Amino acid sequence: MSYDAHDDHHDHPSAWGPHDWEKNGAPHNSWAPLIMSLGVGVFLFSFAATFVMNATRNGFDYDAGSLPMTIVGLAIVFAGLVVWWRQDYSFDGTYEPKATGVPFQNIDMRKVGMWIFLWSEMMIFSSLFTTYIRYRLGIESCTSILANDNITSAGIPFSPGEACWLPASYFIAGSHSESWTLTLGSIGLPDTLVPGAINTFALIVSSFTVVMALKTAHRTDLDHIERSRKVRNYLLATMALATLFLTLKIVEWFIGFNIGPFYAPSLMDDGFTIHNEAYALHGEGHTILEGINLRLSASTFFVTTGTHGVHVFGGIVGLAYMSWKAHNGGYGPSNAVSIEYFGLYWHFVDLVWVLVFPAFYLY
Amino acid sequence: MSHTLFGKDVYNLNFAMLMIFTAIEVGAVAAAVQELISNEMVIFILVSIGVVKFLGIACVFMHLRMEADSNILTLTALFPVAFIILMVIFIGLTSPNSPDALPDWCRPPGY
Repeated sequence: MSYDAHDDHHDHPSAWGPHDWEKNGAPHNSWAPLIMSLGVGVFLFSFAATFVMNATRNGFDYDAGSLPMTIVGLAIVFAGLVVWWRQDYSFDGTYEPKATGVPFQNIDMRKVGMWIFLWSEMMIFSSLFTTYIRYRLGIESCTSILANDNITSAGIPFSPGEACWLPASYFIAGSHSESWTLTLGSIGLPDTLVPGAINTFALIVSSFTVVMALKTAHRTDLDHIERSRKVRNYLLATMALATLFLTLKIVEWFIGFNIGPFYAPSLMDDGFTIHNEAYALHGEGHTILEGINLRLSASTFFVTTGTHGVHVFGGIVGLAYMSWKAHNGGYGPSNAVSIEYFGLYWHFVDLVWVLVFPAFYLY
Repeated sequence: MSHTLFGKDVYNLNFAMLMIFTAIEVGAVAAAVQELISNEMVIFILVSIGVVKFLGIACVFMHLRMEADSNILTLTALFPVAFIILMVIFIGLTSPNSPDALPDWCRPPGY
């Protein structure tokens, strides 16, 4: 039965799922996007109100009154996901709708939708990178001021509480690091850079495991059970690597580590926080630049890498569902494109990290 | 789905390229921290490798090359890219006062 042969004047697929593709053909309606948009809106408004800068501006207070609505927002998002998954679960690729509008004729509608979504994502991350470039080029470097005996390029003595730019890489990949466990000849890797370096490799490997899941789902030389098992394993491997990424991110931001010869304090322990207005930068000898306002440097770093981290978390949620579907034999050559379209999102997350890592961690 | 380059699977080659170039990036920064190479050299290495890795992921893993619909998807992607270029040039690179010349309504109290 072709997609065109479906008579949607008589069949009315449920907008709530589950969906009977054989009987009803492709669904033309779903409440899932509206429900999830509503949930994300409620969550973001409430979550933002949970953190309130305190009167002395040296930290945050927590407004517990916003917590219930934050949880309600998350619950609405989850309900939207359930509706989406109920509709998708039985999809076997029989009725893959094609786009008809210029210039996307005959391209899978879901593929076009994913690319349009990714283009909007490009705009989000571009605005964050533009902010970074502007601040990085427009604010004088703290290390330059320190090297110039605390005199700014305008010839004015640096005043405590002023902002100058101290990049996250100073704490992560600079000589500031106290421990250099991994060395090769005269070249060493600061321990503080280890989580970021591992994360970079983890994301690249995870991009490859998604590709392998897709290639395996296309294979016709395997029986259905064996193919499903392999696809599930590749998706689970991707999810494990993504979880490793977020775990190391939490370690890097909040916890730090002290394992055997490896020692790296967290960024928070180092004082690289969005409310630190009195950081003391130590130079060679007894030189010191006191009272640095780190708010802009830290905010730019945490907002950009945090936004990326949220995308990784979104990928983990999607991978959890897809692994479950694969475990139940839900993917084969006829609907392997579902993995491909998720892969587009996942490769995009990797793509952003390719830019974030050198810009924020290395330089 | 199956594509080859020099008789090898192009996805495997791309994966190997990404791993090697990432190792070079990390090594370059480690060398710079110990002042074995200059900062300018590090920037050059990071930007060059970043561009190659970006293209490797976009063209191979995201199929913006080698597929029947690659050209139209690539061309359409230029639409947001036009805005991005405008944003980077006119805000990121050419508004030196933007960090400290925001109007009052755009600043938190006390700034």
